Amino acid sequence: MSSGRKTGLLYAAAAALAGLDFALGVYAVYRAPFPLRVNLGSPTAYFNIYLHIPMAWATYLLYTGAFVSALVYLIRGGEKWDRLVQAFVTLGTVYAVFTLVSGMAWASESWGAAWNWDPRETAVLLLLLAYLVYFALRGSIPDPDRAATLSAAYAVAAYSMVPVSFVAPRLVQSLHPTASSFGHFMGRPDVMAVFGPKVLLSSIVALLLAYLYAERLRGAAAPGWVRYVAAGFIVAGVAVGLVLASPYLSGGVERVAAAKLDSQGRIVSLTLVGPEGNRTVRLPSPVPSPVQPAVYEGKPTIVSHLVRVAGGRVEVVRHWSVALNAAAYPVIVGLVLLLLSRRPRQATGEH
Amino acid sequence: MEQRRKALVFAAVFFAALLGIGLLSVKSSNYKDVSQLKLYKEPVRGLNVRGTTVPLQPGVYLLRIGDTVYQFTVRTVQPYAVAKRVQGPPIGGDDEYALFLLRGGDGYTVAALFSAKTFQQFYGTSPIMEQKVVVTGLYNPSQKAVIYRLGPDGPQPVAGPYPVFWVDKILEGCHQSYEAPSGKIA
Repeated sequence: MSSGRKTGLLYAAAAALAGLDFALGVYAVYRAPFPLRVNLGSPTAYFNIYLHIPMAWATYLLYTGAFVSALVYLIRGGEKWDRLVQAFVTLGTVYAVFTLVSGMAWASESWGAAWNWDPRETAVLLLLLAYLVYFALRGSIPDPDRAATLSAAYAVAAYSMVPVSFVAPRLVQSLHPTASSFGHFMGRPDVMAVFGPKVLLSSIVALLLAYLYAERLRGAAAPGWVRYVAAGFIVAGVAVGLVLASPYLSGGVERVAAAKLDSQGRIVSLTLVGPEGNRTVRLPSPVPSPVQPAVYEGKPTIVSHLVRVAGGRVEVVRHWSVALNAAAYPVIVGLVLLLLSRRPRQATGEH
Repeated sequence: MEQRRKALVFAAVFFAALLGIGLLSVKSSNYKDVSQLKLYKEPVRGLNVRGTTVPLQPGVYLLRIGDTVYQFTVRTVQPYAVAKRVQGPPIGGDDEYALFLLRGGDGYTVAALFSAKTFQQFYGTSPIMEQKVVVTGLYNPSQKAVIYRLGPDGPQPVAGPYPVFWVDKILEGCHQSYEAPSGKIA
């Protein structure tokens, strides 16, 4: 198989899998399960489980790729491994930024503040800052051999932040859940049916994009259709974000402070807290709760949710962080594909 | 090749150094325990402090901070209550505060007050609070809160004086959230 054909197939695979990943993300924020009762804020913020966590895993995977490639380069040499280091660090940094931003958006609702100096938050920030230095280091050394060698050594060293961020919740009290408390929820079949494939797809897409970036550094051009697919991802991401955020744009979003249900679990009245204060709304006729099951431990599960009440209907509104993160992922993939579709500079020869 | 070998050694040493720095940074970002607030003699803001909530027993109570008195009612044993100002000048921007007593590892206790409006915005009116809570805000050791129980013989002091912690935010972990069963939007 020719190199160009292989590259074309890889781009097709990346686009197809990224599309599937995006579709699964959209399905997740509409139909996937979430914790019925949460400590703080809207339970729908926990749809971020299917958006933030797969990207965090992909970030770790990309930086692990950088670490392994850097080690191989330092032991065996070869420009191919140097290109892989650059590609993995670049994509890893993009994904790390998304991980931090998506996590902060989620934390603003579910933890009470966007930034809390939580041990894992802090460690991921250190990880990102450490790898940002890679670019500065590489760019500051004029000799390409020396630049490749020193930056590979640095990429190996910076990887130390990955195990730090991983073990942080075990070392000190953290707002992040430990594996056992998280596993309690993740282990449910209906959750794993969505979460498992989401993590797998996001990881494969991340690795493919990194490999394709390394190929671009080699001088391999992307097929012409890639830029149209990239534009499609960006438009689709923005569209999904606007649809999910539309209740906020049109107004009327309030939080349920209390609810009265009838004996069949239907909503009779809601006490709502909104920008204009508290109000109690008695519905013209009882309606089935949009959150199922409607009752947990004797209490209505619609409490704490963000809703819009209009025309006797109660609509659950996903927290804005879900809209942001659901939109950001395809936009990021689209921007990466757009970058890859640009004509590459001529690569230097092997040395 | 020689250059790459030297770089490998440098990478290993630097890896170990960064690992140590990273672990130290993480350990130092650990939240303070309520008991460590004893060390502060002056008001201090911006501390992230972790404590255990003290269950409030059923009854009708008064909370006195200086000349200001709040009243709250506890119907069932719970970690917090909403206290409404009934006498004296207002403190802070609210007349109603969610009150919870936070205890540190050595028993040192503070009275934590959080704007009731903000509290209910996030928690609703029947929230679940974890027993261990992390808060951030202003610790004022010169302000003391005393709790009185209202009975047939009038108000009787039952707890305090406790230093006051004015909560800006409750930083909640989500550990307990994952214990709940799963729900769906119909």
